[in-house]
Amino acid sequence: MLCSRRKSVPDAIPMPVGEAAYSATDLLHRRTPLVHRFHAGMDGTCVEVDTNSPWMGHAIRAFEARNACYGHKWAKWEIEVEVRGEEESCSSPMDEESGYETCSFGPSRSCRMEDGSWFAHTPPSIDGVGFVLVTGDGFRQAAKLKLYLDLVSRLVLQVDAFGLRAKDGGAAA
Amino acid sequence: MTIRFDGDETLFPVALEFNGSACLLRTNSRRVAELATAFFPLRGESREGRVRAHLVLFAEESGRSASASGRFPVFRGRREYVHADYGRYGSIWFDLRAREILGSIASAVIADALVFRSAVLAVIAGMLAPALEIVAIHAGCVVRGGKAVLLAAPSGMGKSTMALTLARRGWELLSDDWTFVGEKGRALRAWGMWSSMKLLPDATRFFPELAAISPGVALNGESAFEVDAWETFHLERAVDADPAAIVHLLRNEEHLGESRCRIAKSNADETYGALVREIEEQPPEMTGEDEARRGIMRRLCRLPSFEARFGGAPAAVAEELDALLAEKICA
Repeated sequence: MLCSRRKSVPDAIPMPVGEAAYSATDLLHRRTPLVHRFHAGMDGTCVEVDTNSPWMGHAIRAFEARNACYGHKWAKWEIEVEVRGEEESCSSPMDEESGYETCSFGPSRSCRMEDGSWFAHTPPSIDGVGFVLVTGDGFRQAAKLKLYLDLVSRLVLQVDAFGLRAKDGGAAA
Repeated sequence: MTIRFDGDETLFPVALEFNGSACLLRTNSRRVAELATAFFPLRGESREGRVRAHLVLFAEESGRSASASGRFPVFRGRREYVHADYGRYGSIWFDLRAREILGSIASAVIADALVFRSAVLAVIAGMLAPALEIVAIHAGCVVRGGKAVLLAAPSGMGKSTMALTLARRGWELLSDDWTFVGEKGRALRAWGMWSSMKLLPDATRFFPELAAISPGVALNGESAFEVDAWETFHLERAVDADPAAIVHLLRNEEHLGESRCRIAKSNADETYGALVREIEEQPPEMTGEDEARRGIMRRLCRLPSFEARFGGAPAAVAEELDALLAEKICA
């Protein structure tokens, strides 16, 4: 079994302040219906995103249109979005400078952003699932989702950027 | 941007057993190894078996002591992936289909054995159980002569109080809240977690030992005592036992103040319906394991099953239950 972690952090990262203000929850989120479906071209791959946020559509417009990658690889992502009030946001918001951690556990890979958002998948498949915390109005949410999709597409669709050494690549034993 | 690699740390392997399933832990911390071994002790039933789950737990240096808000994770899951987020105290990843777990936990949490057992090892057991075809039954459990009696009830019905009261009458305490039932060959096996027992502040009426302890804030936000029941009340710990009976506890407002407990037999369908309402539904990716769990529950519900309606002091109810179980189960 392989396990590894790699942290990628900017030189001066704003650390969360105060204790986590999460509300206790359970795995019912696993059954949150993802009623919206969007498509985009990312790094030559046509990505189908199922989500519960209509603002994902705004975020995805920043990427290539679906037909730009027609006939190429396909990926299916399930991304759940949770909207938090500003006062509930326990961590610094994700921006271009935010850090993230990538993990390899068994055959699976995950990345976790500083604010608690995450994405997980099992190579060689580029299908995966994720969870994003957003705050603010719809346009702020869309901006955050765009950053999230940028990061995930870099980590998942450009395998080298996921932080896996060549000998670890692909499905683990 | 700076890059830090953590992947080359030396990890040593530790063999664990979770209700008959062999698990392999790798960790950089001897204390994590000791605590995990005590929580998932080898029972000699899986030593030769294949390893069914792999765990990696990193102890992370942290100078802060663990506070109540950092003790309990926030769970986010989708398909076979689950992330348990402890905020600044770490996080744990689960791939339930591959039965692979990777976590990093702050040393401040690991330093407190009860917190580590209750907030980390218990979470791992609860999350991993369905993937190992083990059913987490919402029931306390007491044992006498190797025979386990499950005390099933929804939250707030007095499972912990009744389990503790029976334990003070000479039963071994296996669990106060969740009992993990799996298959051992052709038989069923009940397994209990060595984690904290939650008792509401008014429990001092029945257990004066609690008067010396301050209640804290439980996972659901309510004020409660969280104690190591075995240590606090000097009880015998049962790790596992053969399930022999199920008692449904129904604290009934209509019977408040009555010292008498009304006990009636219940049938397998009623028992199954009550138990299945309390189990966590699994995602479609875990359908095979879920069917196995339901099979275990159907077998479990063939055991003698009783319904105990009560409203009086737990000691009086425990006395009646004790007499019934001695006659029907332990004779």
